[in-house]
Amino acid sequence: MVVSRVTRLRSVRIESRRNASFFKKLLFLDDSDSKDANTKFYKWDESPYDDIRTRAAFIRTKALCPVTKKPVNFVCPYSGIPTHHSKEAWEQDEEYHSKKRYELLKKVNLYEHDLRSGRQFDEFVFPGEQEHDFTINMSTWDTFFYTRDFNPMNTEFNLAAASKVLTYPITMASVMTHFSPYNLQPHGPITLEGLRSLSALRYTLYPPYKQTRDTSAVLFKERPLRIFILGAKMEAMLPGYVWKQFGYLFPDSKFEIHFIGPECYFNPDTRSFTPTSEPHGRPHVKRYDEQLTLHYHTKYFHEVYDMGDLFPFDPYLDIFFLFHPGFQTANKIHWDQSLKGLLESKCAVFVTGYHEEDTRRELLYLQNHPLADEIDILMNQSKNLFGSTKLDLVDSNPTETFQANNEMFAFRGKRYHAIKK
Amino acid sequence: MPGHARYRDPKTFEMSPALVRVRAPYFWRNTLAFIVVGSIPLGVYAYTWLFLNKDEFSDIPIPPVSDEELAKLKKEYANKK
Repeated sequence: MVVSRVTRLRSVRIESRRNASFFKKLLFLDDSDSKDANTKFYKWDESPYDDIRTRAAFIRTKALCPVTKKPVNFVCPYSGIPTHHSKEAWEQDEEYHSKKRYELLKKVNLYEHDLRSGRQFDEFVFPGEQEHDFTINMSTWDTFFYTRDFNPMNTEFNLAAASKVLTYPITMASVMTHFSPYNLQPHGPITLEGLRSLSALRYTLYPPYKQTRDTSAVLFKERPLRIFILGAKMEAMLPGYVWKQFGYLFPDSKFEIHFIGPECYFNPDTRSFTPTSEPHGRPHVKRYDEQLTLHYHTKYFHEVYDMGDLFPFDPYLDIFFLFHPGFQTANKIHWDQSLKGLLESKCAVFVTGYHEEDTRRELLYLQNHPLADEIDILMNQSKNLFGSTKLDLVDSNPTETFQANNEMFAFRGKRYHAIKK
Repeated sequence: MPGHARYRDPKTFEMSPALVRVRAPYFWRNTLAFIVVGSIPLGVYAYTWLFLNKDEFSDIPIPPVSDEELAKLKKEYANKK
């Protein structure tokens, strides 16, 4: 009896401490967690990992100092990354210090070392099927991970590693799900035209009268939903089980994911991006399982479009994603030709960018394009809630950081009902 | 550990930082709701307490006791000690 009383007392004490700590943490009285993240800090030149040292050397050869425009030759003592030409230039860079750029760069440094540290990567143990009774909350990464029952992402390093991989499938899911965190204007970024497009897709994903088990009621869904990812490179390298995380969110639908772009197929034998060897321009198809197939078209979209194999496009069954397309880069000529097909398909096209400015550039390209009159904006530019939280660095300009899929907007070719005059 | 138990410390059952972040956006509204809902029984209790404290039991008649009887009772009481 004594023992039981002791344990009861102890449990009471633990419980009271636990509750107090929860309140303390949320009232910002207890910041012990933020101090936990003290991984060892290395300068990139002195890093124990070969590739990081090589990258530092690459920055020194390629990058120019933002102040003096001379080659970079000074390692910022806060971030451990070579950023400026000399100590004087580093001290003179007021924007760098006033905006605390070095804190972001330090995070880049820590993330890169964490990924190579060989610690146990529990965040890559992905959950299986979603139980029917548990609804998925897609309002932030944290609620998504919790309701999908991932391993807890306790540190920012866990979150960075997991979100860098999952940002592609979950960004797609977050706009398509009927629990989407993006609301209709004025409470969110979705325009009325956007709602029309998304409603069409959701009509396919969540068919009405499904409970009747009467197959004649779902006649409109005679083929899998196709998701086209244009200009794919990194996302096309993701293995099937990462895309399956997208599939688990829509267990009743079948999907074809089409990667389109000259660098969308990574050949594991030659370890390089190569065109597939399929005859007659057919895509290379990887069947992951019953629900999901991955198609690799190693051509530009306008070439695939002109071949006509993908016809007909249907706004109820097709959706496009352009993950940081870079409309105005060297590929501009191809985007110019592809845009026509994109608009003709009348399907929703979602575009992401590395940061706010980058995304605004993409939007500006569309607005100044000769076909601008044909474009409806479906989603105003807004922060992508499921962007990668891992900060990254531009090697040619090491004071600039970016995050994959940080911002997002959407457009579509105009499609209105005929009006009788 | 199966399920959401992984989001807590296995020994102290303390919430992990991940769970704190999950609950943080709901914290203030939940606390407000707790205060609103909690104030109903507390209000009922407080009202009852105040109302009953006002009662002086003046409406309960106390039977009159004569001096003789009082002396006798006092004596009995003293003897009992």
